[in-house]
Amino acid sequence: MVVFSGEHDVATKHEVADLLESLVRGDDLIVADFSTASFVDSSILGVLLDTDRQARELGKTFRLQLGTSDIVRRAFEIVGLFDVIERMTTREEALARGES
Amino acid sequence: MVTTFDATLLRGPVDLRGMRHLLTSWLEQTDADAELLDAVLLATHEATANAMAHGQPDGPVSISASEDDVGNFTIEVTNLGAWKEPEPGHDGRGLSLMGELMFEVEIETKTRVRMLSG
Repeated sequence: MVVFSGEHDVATKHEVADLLESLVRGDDLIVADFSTASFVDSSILGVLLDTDRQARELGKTFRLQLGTSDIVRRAFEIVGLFDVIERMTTREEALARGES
Repeated sequence: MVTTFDATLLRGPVDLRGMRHLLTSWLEQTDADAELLDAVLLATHEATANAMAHGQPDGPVSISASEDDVGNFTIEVTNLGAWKEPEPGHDGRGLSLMGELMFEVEIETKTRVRMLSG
């Protein structure tokens, strides 16, 4: 579980990518919680798509937890992340095991 | 009423947070509703990040935004330096965000992006 609060953009994309990659290698279920994020840009969205691909290759599960920030939700929608990565609205759903 | 926002970012560590906060403060003084404010903010960020990814270390990037008398916004992001290929891994997601968030996006290759809301 990684909680992304505040603003996330190209300035920190390498740190975010390294963190998510290490989690994908170590854990079976990885949740990126953006419910308290106030801004994300296309470079962070690209990192999330890469993370999802790595997770699938390793047979792991990668999920997003989203809140109500409109600018964050719109960015995810436009880039099509919800078509690819499982989206949950609560911590309980995000951490539930098995198929969803 | 016509109001404008102008900023020039010098090259260096890519830090666009300060620009976004200034732009948000300006947008809050305009007639933009929350949805339009978000669209202008994210589209301007993407155009600026793109210009900086393509810019040379000594080439600044200028950003200007204005609201016209019917509440539409024009944003221009200009790369004032030379152009270079961005680092690997850069892709067109920023451009698709700009295209979806704005009514019109004009790209003058290697130099300028001009976007209209509406």
